[in-house]
Amino acid sequence: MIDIRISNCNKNYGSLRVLKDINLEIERGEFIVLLGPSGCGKSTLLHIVAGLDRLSSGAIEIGGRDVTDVEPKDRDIAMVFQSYALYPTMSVRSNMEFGLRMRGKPMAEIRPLVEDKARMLHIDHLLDRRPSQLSGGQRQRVAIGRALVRDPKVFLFDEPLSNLDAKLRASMRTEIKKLHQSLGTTAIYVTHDQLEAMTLATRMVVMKAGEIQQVGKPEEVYHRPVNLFVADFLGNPGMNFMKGRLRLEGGRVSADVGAATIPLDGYAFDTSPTDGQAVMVGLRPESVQPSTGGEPFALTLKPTLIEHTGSDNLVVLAMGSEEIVGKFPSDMLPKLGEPVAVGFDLSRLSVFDAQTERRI
Amino acid sequence: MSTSTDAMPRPARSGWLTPRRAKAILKRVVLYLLLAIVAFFFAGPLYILLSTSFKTMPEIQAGGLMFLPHEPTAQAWVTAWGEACIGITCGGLKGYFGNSMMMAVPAVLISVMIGAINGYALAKWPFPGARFVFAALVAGNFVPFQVVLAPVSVTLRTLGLFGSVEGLILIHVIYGIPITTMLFRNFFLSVPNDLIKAARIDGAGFFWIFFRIVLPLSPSVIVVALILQFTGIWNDFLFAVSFSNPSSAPMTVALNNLVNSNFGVKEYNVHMAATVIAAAPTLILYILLGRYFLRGMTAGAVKG
Repeated sequence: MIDIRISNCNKNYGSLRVLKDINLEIERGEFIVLLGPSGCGKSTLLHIVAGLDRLSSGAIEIGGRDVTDVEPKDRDIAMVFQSYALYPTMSVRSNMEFGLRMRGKPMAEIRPLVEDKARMLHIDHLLDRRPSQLSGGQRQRVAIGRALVRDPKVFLFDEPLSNLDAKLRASMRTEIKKLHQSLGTTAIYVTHDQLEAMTLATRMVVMKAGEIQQVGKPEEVYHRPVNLFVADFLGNPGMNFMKGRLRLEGGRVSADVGAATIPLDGYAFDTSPTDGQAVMVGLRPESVQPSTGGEPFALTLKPTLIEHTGSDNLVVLAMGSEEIVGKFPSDMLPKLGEPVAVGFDLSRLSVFDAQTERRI
Repeated sequence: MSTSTDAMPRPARSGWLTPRRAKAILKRVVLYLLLAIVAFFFAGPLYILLSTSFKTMPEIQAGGLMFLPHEPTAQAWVTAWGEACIGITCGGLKGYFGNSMMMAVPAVLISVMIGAINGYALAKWPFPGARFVFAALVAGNFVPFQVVLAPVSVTLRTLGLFGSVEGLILIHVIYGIPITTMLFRNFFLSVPNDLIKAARIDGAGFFWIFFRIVLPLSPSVIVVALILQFTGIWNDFLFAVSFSNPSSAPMTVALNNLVNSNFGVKEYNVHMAATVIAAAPTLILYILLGRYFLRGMTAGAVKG
């Protein structure tokens, strides 16, 4: 069942096109993450779904109802902001009650609701404090609580964790995930943090310059990026790209990347390859591993730099005139300048056309 | 004996008056001197006003302007408040004080209220042409009073408000809107937009957000607006003398008539008492709300 339908949505500020013909359908209960670099229009799209920004053309449907011209308060949504946006002169309790009181719910019904949700978020002991007396993490809990008590059809999150420190961010992320699993409410979540996107999303939407690049399950977007931008944007360290040309010989396809010829027999082409086609061959660092001898494709390469991350060793390997990064286990420590045998997991390859930058 | 003292190294000039210290003290002295002069400049006239108002006429005529009264008496105050002749009536200032209150209090409240709502709309609810409206309002601050005297006079006559307290209220409200709007608009710019958005999603409308969320954040700017407007309206003379008649004249006009009357002996003690009465409300307002005023003027300057 479709819960939110965004059709042909455009947003212009003067001559600046912030959103270009966005189409997106969101099923009930999905957790959609909008991901992209700053200025890609992801926040604008969220604000348009909320009704805080008007779209220049197109339509928004929530729960089967056209809400394009409906005020935010009548869209049955709740939103959590990066800045928390708690009402500074009100107590935590009043903050959480505000939305329900605006809707004319009697106080006798509001009180137990607020207390129940406060207990759920472990902020029941803070109810009589002012927002200024709370820590960042507590404030964001209150902001989430304020959204929860309304029991809306859709939750909107606008980079809710970006103001928190790394450790708190990780624990709040887990909590948001748990909340969504227990409530099952449709959610749209905007972030520029790919780790948040990968862990929270049931489907993620990668955006760039006002356009949707790819929509899909996190692992699908991660392993089968549709173009160079998505491939490059996701992953840390980033994907290795090797410039080369396709070679078609006797029904077999391979990519000549200068230092080596990579067989593409197992690669599922989206479009039929042509001989001599200029391509970028992409492979994530975790698919570049020390050889165990069993791989169908291995090379002997010279390490030029090693970075220890604790859990892994990132090994920079010279490959012709280019360099690629391999993610080695922490107990595998090659010596600088001494060639090592490196195995390539070719089932994880991505091949892009060098001109169109699209996956082929 | 002398040899031993010579052998002892004389301690370096470690006295309390090092050159550095002397310079600091000199700075202090100059600073206090300047402050004293400025304080004298402002407090001196007030002292003379007060001391003269408690003197009798013979004592004033004997000279000694700077001395305290020999036999303090409140008679001049009683006369100024209830008996002095202003124009052809001899009822003192009390009626005019009432006029001023009847004029200033509503005019201040209305102009501050409208300015707050205007400023809120301009800062937080951008509409097409908002910048032009704001620019026009700012320009309104620079229209000299003299320019509008004739048109306002015609307008008030047409409305049937000429010579009434209500007419003065109207013109002061209109003249107050540009400055109060500017004041509030600039303050409200610092209120985070996310607050407004959150409240809109929570279901609050324009006025609910204004009264429940924005205004409670703004006591300091409200006080600034109140003081500025009250001082301006209470002390206004030009509009008051142009658009009032003897029964609706505010304090400033009455005081002028009292002091400048050409009949009989000039009763300086009564004039002084009358002047203090005329200045008292603004003085009291400053004393009561002054600290909020100072806080309001610097608010936003330090808080990031």
